[in-house]
Amino acid sequence: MQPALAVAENLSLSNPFEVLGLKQGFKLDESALDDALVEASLRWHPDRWVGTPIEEQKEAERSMAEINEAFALLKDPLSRSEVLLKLHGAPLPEGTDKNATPEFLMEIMELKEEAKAAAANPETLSRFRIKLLGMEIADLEKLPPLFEALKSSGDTIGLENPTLDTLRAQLNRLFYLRRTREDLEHSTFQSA
Amino acid sequence: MTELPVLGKESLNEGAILGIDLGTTNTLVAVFDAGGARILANEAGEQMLPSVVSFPLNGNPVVGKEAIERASLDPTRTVHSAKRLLAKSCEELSASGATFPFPLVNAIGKSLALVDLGERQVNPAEILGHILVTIRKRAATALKMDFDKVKRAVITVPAYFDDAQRQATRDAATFAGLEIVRMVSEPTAAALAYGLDKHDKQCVAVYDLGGGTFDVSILKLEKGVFRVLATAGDTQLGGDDFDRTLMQITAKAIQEKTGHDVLATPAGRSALRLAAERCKIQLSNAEEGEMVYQDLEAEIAWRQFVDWKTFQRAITPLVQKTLDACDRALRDAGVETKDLDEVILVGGSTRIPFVKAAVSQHFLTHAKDDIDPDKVVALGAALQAGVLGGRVGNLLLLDVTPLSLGMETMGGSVSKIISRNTAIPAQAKETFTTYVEGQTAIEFHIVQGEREMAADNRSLGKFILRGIPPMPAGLPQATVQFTLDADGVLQVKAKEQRSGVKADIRIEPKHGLTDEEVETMLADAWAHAKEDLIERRLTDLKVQLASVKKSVEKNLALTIQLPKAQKLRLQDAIEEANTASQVTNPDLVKGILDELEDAAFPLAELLMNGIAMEAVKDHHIKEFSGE
Repeated sequence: MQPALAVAENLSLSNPFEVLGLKQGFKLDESALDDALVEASLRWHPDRWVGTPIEEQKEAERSMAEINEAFALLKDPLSRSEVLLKLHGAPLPEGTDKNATPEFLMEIMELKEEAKAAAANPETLSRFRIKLLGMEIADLEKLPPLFEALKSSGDTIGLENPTLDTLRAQLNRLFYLRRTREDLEHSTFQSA
Repeated sequence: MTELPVLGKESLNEGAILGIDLGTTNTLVAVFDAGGARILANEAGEQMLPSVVSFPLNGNPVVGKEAIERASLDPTRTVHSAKRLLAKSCEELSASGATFPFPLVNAIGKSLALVDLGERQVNPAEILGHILVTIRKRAATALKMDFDKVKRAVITVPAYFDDAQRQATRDAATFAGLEIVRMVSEPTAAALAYGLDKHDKQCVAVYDLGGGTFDVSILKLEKGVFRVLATAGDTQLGGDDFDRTLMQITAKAIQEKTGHDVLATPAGRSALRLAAERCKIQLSNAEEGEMVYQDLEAEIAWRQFVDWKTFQRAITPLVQKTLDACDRALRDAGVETKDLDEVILVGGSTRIPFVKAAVSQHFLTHAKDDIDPDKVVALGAALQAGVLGGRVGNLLLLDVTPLSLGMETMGGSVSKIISRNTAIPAQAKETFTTYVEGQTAIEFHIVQGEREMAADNRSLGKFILRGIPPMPAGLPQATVQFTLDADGVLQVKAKEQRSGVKADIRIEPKHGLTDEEVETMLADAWAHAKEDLIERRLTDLKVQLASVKKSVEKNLALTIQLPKAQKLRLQDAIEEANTASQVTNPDLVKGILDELEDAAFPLAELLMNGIAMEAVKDHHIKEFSGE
């Protein structure tokens, strides 16, 4: 028997901002997001539907799963960005980015070398992890103005849009930084 | 504010919902009523039911204290820590270092350990089922309700229980005729019991170290909503393992002195385990604890003091494992130690002063144990039952799944579908395809765990999507949907999009039971369910008494060497024992037996050659009290 071969992941169809009743946009107050989750949960969590007909309980379970997914997508600025690009009609491509600049490719090479060298002992590893985290945070700060600019650049599907290109490059870089950091954490977690 | 559904109308009419803490060592039941959450005791006023089940060769299973009594008489048929055996294979259990006095065997064709009674093999889920039946009866008596009316429960499980262990807990409830209204994580239930919702916004860590399992959960509390951010743990780590370190210390000492390996026999393991439990409890309240072991047949009488430093040294690696898990949970929660407002201690093993200190030190805060750590989970379960029954408003638990769920893909690696610490209920989809021309069936292998290769994770089961029309490789699109319900139990559906073929989604459980097996188990067990507990216990105790008396009488000539008082005490005890055949109250027989055993201890010491024994005792006292 042949095992399964994984292909693209299906994101859910609904708009996570709508699911949680939040205004669509990159800027999102963390406590507003928490409040939205609490309110939606009080309505839809299956615990609130015990004793109702089974179809209603199933519906509540499905809704709550959707709410949980929406919350997780919006909580993380990277997946929130992905959601916004998708809603903008310009989703990030799956897999590796073919439009990476030579500068970024150089940087990737350097980081790879550094990761290898850092792996030698826990202290350098932890320092490298903190460095990656710092780069990530610095890059995240560049996102809000880009999304503002994207919003004001209007509906540009199918057209050349330099803001969109910059934004996508920025996100690719962020995803790369995070993946590198997570791999690092994962390997230390595994060996622990 | 949105309109809320009308709660609990139906449930209120259906009788009480029990809150059950089904523990490795003890099981408790609580309810929520006018007076709030309260633990239900048995007629003797005891709140904790030892989670021990003994299966006499002829007759009905015995549960609780009476079962513990049978542990030395019938060690191979008396099962403790059954929760630890749940949905585990013999290999997994021995890998965790656990040893049991009763024999285990894997179910045919499955990675599922069963207790081998000889005439039949018992599934650990059935053993927990017997405990739940006893609890259900206790609740019915305490609440003055018909047994049949007491049928719904909130049952707690370790947060780190995987899917197979949760399914097995469901099987146990089914066996006992209980419907699980909700399965709640033990640390989450504990947080609820602490009533921390009174505060505005809080971040809390719950450290739950029980008899056989360890959990840590990080929660955020806001407006009565308890949201779990992350959880970590180990379902094969607990007080049992602490006991084992003590057992090993004493077994080693006895072997050095006598050449006798007391751990080699089921009776020896069983007796030493009970001694270790007692010693551990003493060590929680004093500088040292005493390991007492007595076997007249093998001429061993052993008393050994273990001081807390020795004990601490022995359990340090185990405690360190729990602290590492705490760090993992904090990291996954995105919370730093300084963000924590409270740290709560749950589970009997947190009574150990060293554990308490280690946790406080690790979290840089004084860990709280205001509510009895043995009872807090049951109280929380009752509160949750109150919430679900509509008696308590404005409290809501939001939990997560502890382990990632995924599918084996090409080359044996795992494609993650739901990540650990995802909020439940959850749903996720992933699309798979074929890689061979004209492939008409795809095998799906569902795994749970964090490792990259499927073989290193827990296998939950396999299913095959058949009847896909022949297509070029890569063209079929099989969408697999994972659904985790609010109990954290998984359901899987699959559909090939182009042909519309749906999967035969029955997963053959590798660790658990099929529905038919649950039914057979039920039928088997209820077939001989006639109750005659008192008679049974009386017979057992008399057999045990006769055996001790025989050993004593064999060595009666030696009593001449005993001091007069000890000799008289022994004579009295033997005389008492002679009258036991007429006694019909098991408690009285138990008293006579205990007295005879105590009175015979000096005799056993004599048997062990007193002088050499003294030397060894000195030696060990030095070894264990010094650094």
